[in-house]
Amino acid sequence: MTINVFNISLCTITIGAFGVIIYWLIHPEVVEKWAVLIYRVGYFISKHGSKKIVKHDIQGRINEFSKLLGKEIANWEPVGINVEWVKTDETATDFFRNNKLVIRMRHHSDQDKNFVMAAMVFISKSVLTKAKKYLSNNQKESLDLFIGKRLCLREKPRIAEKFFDEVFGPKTDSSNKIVELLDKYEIIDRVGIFYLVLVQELNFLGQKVFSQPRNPKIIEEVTHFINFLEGYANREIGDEAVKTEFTRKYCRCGIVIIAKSFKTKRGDTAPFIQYIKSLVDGEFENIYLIGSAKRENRAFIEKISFEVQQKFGYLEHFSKRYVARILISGKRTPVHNFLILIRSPHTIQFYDKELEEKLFGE
Amino acid sequence: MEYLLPKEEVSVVHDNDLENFLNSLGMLRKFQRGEVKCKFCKTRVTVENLHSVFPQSGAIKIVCDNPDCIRELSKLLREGTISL
Repeated sequence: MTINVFNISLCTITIGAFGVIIYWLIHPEVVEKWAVLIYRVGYFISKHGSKKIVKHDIQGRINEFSKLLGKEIANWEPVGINVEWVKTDETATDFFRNNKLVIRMRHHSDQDKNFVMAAMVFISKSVLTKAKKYLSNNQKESLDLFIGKRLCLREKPRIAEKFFDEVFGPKTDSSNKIVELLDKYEIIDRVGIFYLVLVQELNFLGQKVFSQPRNPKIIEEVTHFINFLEGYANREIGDEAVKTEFTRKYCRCGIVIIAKSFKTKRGDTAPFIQYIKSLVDGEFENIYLIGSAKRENRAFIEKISFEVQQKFGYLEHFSKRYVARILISGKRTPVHNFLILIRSPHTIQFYDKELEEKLFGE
Repeated sequence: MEYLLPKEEVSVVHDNDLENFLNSLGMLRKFQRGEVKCKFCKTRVTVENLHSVFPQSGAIKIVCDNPDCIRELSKLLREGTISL
């Protein structure tokens, strides 16, 4: 009997420990957050370990955010950060050979500043890397700032304050164009499609365009695309006058709002399929089906997605439930929405003439 | 899964090691004499306002923590002129 109880306890502890190890392997950022707490206690006692606090605190927070971004942007491969201390005996020759930027990190008592600086460098370099090549400086900077703002607002208020004091404030004070773009992103984000549609489409753009950097045609198209999404985000519920299709050379996407209760109640997909057929015929690459996440409506959206895949050969790329603050009688009201992105299997790649000649000699 | 994610390596130097690092690059004396200028705004860089260091065209470039200079630095990073 005693042996049995002992065996059961041992088994439970082993399974529990195994579970914890698996969880930590899948979520190393959680381990890093715990490690920071332990190092802080260690530092309090021994006054050693400031570097470990700085390193793991930044890695834990940024990697967690990157993972969240990966869930919001289906076509983005999340990238983590690895904070690496330079060797203190690194000679000038090593420094030139490594050819890398070295960022100064302050003592961990000023960790909020360290975090903000590392986060902004990380976002500049790692998010939307390909698409940024083709955007204007204002477009690139405003995107980095908005994503940085979202990252810092998730953290302690002190970090957000540091970000606004040292990065956001000075940049917005000096450029009206950046402020204008940030205001547009804010509106787009209210209806929950900043990452789900805007960033996603920019990522697709970066994957299919091979052109010289800062191509004016792409810059102009992205400006129109941002305005299009702003118009959609400012749409009053039921307003059918607002454009829901965007057709330009590089970006071709349509938003199909599935919320006509009488049609969903009847379960009649035909009017939607007919409309989607016109988008397919118009060579729209990405079609976003958006509607209420209520069970009946969600099932209806899924049914439409299935039919589109069967009839037109489009593929379901991504689906997500999210909160949107939509305009109902002039007031922003939070609702639970559901989105499915269906994507054409035949996406077009663009090479500009100069590059084409260089690559293919034509 | 996250543990399989590719990682972007960011090289950093801690305040505790800053003197040694600058010394090994042969920059410490210049720093102490106040002879180091920011690559972008040309103001004097001290230990107080140092943001980062990078190599370019055979020279060591220093950046101060002025938001406009960090903005310029981010541009170079995005363009791939300098790497992490």
